[in-house]
Amino acid sequence: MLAYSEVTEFSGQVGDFKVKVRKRPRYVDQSRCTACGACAEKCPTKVPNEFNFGLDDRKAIYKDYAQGIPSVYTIDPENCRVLKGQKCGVCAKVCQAKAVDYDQKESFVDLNVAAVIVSTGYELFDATQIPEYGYGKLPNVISSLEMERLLSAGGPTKGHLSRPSTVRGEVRLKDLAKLIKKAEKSEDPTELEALQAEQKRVEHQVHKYHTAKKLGFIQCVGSRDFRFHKYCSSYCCMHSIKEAIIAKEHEPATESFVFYMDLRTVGKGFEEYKVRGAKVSGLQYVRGRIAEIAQDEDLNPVVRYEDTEQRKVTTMTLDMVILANACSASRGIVKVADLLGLDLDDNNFVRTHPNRPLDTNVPGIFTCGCAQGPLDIPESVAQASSAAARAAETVMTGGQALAV
Amino acid sequence: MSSEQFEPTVVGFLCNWCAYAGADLAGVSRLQYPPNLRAVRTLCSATVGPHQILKAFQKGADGVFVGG
Amino acid sequence: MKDQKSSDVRIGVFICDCGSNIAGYLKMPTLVDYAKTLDNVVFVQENLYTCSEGGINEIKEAIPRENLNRVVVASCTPRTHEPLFQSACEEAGLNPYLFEMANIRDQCSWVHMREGEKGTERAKGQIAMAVAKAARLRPLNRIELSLTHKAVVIGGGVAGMAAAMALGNMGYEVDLIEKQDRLGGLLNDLNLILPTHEPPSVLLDDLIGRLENNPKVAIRTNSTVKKVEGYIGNYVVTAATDGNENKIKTGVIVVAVGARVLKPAGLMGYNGDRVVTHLELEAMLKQGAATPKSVVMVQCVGSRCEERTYCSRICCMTAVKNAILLKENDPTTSVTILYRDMQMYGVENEDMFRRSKELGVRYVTFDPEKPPIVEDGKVDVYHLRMGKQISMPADLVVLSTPLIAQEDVGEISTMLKVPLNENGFFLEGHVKLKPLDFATDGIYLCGNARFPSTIREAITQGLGAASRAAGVLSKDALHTSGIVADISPETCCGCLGCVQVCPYGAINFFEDRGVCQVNKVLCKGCGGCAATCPSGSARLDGFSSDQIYAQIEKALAG
Repeated sequence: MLAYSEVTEFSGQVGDFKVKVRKRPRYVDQSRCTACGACAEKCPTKVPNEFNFGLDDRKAIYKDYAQGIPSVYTIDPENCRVLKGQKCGVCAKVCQAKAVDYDQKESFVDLNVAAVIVSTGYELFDATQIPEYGYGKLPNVISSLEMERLLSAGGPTKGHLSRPSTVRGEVRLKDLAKLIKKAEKSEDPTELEALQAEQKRVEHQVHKYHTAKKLGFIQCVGSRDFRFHKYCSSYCCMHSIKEAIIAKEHEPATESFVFYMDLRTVGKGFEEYKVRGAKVSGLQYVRGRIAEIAQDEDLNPVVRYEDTEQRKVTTMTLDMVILANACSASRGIVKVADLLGLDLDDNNFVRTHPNRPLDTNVPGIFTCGCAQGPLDIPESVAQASSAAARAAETVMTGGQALAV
Repeated sequence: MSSEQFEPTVVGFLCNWCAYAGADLAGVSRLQYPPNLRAVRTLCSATVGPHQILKAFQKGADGVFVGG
Repeated sequence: MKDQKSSDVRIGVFICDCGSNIAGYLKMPTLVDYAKTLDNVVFVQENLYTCSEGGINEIKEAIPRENLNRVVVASCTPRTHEPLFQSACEEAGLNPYLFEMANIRDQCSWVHMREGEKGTERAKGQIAMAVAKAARLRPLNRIELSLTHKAVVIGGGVAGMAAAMALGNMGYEVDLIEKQDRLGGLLNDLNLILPTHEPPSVLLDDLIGRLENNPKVAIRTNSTVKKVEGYIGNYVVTAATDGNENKIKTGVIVVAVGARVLKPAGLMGYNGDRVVTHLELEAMLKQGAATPKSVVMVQCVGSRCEERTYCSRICCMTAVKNAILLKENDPTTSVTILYRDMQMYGVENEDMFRRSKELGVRYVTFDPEKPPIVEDGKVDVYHLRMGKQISMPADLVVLSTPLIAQEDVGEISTMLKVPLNENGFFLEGHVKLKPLDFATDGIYLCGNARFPSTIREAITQGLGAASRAAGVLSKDALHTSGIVADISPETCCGCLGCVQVCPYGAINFFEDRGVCQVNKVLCKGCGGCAATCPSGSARLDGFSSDQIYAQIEKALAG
C-alpha cells in the first residue's frame, strides 16, 4: 500500500502500463513507528485539526484519526519547527522506537501493471459559493461532514452536539479570562470594559445554547441547482435523515426538520428508514427549498422558506443548520485524467461506457465509486468489487481488454 | 460496610469486532475512565450466555457489561 | 479433549514496557513480581518492546529453554499483535492457539494515565485472567480442505450473465442456469433501455453472443435448481433441464434470480387495457400501438405502502423515460405524472427529468392519504401544491408498480440456507459493507434478487458478485479457522437450538443419529451455539466456558 503518494508519470497500454509513484516524505520511518502517539503528546506545536474542520487542534506531528491505515504518524512540514529551521526536536527525543527522521526525502516507485482502477472519490461542495446560506459566516450553519464530526464519539466534542459557536466560545472564554487579567494589571479601563462585555455575551451564548436541540437539515445544497451542479447527489437525503436520527439518540429533546424537494430514499431499506425516522425519532420532513439563512442576536440561524404543502412563505428559528453539501468531482481528477488519458463528463466525473459501467475510454483502466458519479456506500462497495473483477479479467487473460 | 470508599468491580464481556475495538480506540484517543473494569474478550457477544453473567455476579461482580 | 493436568502446564509471561507507553504509567516491577506468583507461571520476562525483533527472539528462545507450553504476552492489544506473537510461538514449535494476551496498554495504561496505582491493579487483574485462561487453552488446528474451482450462476438475466461472463473470462468453468427458454430475463420485455435509449436487443445480442462463444460458460436454459448440497468449495447443485436431472459440482454459487413486475389487480382501476403497467406500456410502444392523446401516470402503486414498505428504485426513471418517448412521438400528447417524490437520483436521471420538463411533461405531487381516483377517461387527484382537487382527462393511465420477489424465492432460500428480507428479497451479509455477499461463505448475490436495480447497476453487481466468488476460487485450498465451535455427539440431544441461532448456516442436524454437528468451514466462531446449548454440548474452542469462567474468577479475585 502506497499511502501519502501520487502518480507522477503514466504510460503504456492495457497489460503493460508503466506507473511512476511519488511517495511524499512523512519524516517518520513507517517500518519503525508503532503509532504509540508519544510524539504527538509532547509536540509543542498546535495546528487547527482539518479532520475536525478546525473545531479542535492537532499537533504538527499527527495522524488524521485513530483508525487510519497505515497506522503511522506524519510530520506536517508547514508547521513543524525543525522542518521550518527552528529549534525543537522533541518528537525525535521522546520516540523510543527511533522512528522520527527529519531528513527523510521524497522517493519514487516504478510499477508495471496490467490494469488500473481509478477510485479517487469526491469532494464536498464548497457551500461558501451560496452566499444566501451564510456558510462560513454564520457560525451555526455547518456542513454535513462537520455534523458527522460533532456526532462522532471520537470527534471534537466526543459526540456531544455542541454548537460550533459554543465550542469556539469556550475557547474564547479561556482567552478572555487571560486578557481580562492582563487588562486589569495594565489598568486600561476601556479595554477592560470591552473585554468584560464580550465575556458576558459569550458566556450567555455558551450557557444558553450549550446543546443544539432544534436542528434544520437543508437538502440539495449545490445539487439540483443550475448555478452549480445540475445533478442529484444521491446520498444526501439519507445522510441527513441518519444524522437527525443519531442527534435524537444523543439528546432525546432534539427536534429536527428536514427541508427537501424530493426525499430520495431509493436504496434497500431506505424508505423504511425514512418512515421510521418520522415515526420513532419524530423527524419532520418539510417540502420546500430554503431561500435564505439569517441569524438572530443569539447566533441562532433563521431560515426563510416556502412550505409548498402549506402553501406559505415563512421563517423558522433553529439552534443549528446542517447543509447537505453536494458531491462534487474532486479537483485533482483533472490532473489524473490528463495523465491517464481519461475522458471526463461535463461535471468532471470519469466518463464510463453506458453498458459497461466500470470501463473508461482507455482499455485496461477502470473506475469505481464517486470518481464516476455520486453513489451511496453499498453501491460504492459493489462497484469496487466489480472494478476488481474487470481488472482481474485483464490480469488473468494476460492483458486482454475483454468486454463485460 | 467499611469506611473505605466503595470501589465496584465491573466485568465486561467485549466483542472483539466492536466493543473491544472501541475500548482499544478509547486508549488510542487517551480517553480516561475509572479503572474498575475487568475486560473479557469474546469473538462475539453471542458467546456470552446467562451462565457467564450469573457466574460473574455469583463471584462478586458489582456490575456486568456486555458490549456487542 | 481433556485439560492438561495443571502440574504439566508451564506458562511464560512476557510483559511489555512499550517504551514508556506502559512503563510510564504502570508499576512494572509490581507486575513482574505479581506474575511470578500466579499458578503455573514458570517464567516472567519484561521487554522494552516485546514486538521488536529482540522481544520476539526472547519468546522463541524461552519456549525451548524454559520448556514452556503456554505463552502470555501482556502488552498492547490482540487485535493488532496477536498474529505476530502467535507466529513466534509457532516458529518455536508451540501450537499458536496456546498463546494468550493481556491488554495492559490500549485498555489500561492509556485509559488510566493519572491513576498509576489503580491502573496497575487492573493490569494485575488482566494478567491473572490471561494466565488462568492460558492454563486451560487446548492446541487447535486449522483444517485444509480441497475445493472445486467452478461456479454456478442461478438466473440468466443481465446480472447473472455479467457474473458468468466475468468468471468465464477469468478462466473458471461456469454453469449458467436459466429457468426460461432464453437468456435476458426482464430485459427481453422492455422497449428502449436506459441510459442508451437503444432496444434491449443491442445489449442482449452482444452479451448472449459472447457468452455462447465463451468456452468456459455452459448455458443451461429451461433449467431449474432442484437441490443444493454441500458448502463453500464443495457444493453439488442438482439442476433439472427438460426433466433430466444433472448433478453439478461447484465451489461457489451466485444467486441472480431477478424479480418480476407487480400486476396491480384491484388497484386504481387496473384492467390491462386503458389502465396498464409500465411494462405493458413498453410492449405497446414497441409495437407502435400507443397513440393516446392524454396520459396520466401514477407512481408508487403498490409500493411505499403498508403491504410493501419499500421504494422500488427504478419506477420513477421508467415513467420519465416513457413520458419522454410519448412526447417525442407526438408533442401534442399531454402527459402528467402523479408522484410522491421523484426518485431521479444521480447524474443521468436528473438530466432526463429536466429534459422531460422541457418537453412539457407535467408533474403533480399527491398525498398518499388522498390517492388519485382513476375513472373512465379521467383521473381526479388532490393537488398538494395547489391545495385543491383537480380532474384531468386520461385516454391512458399508466401505473408504476414495483418489482417484487420471484414466486420461488422461498424454495431457493431454503435450498441454499440463505435468508430473505420481509419483502422476499435476498438478505445480504451486511447492508453497507457486504452488499453482494451472504453471511454464509460461498454464496453471492446480485441484481434484482437483491433489490430493484437499473441495468447498469445489475451489470455492476453481477461483475461484483463474480469478483467475490473469484476470491474463493482463486485459492488452492480452503482453511478453517482454529477458533470454531464443536458439538459433543455423546451429550447432544438434538434439540436444534443451535441450528436456529447460527447466523452462518454452519450447523447441520443428522436425523439418523439425532445429533447436531458443526461445519467447521462455515463456522465463524461467534459462539452463539455454545451460549444456547442447554446441555453444554456445544463448545467454542478458544473461548470455551471453562476458560471464560476462569477469567471471571480471576477478575473478581483481587
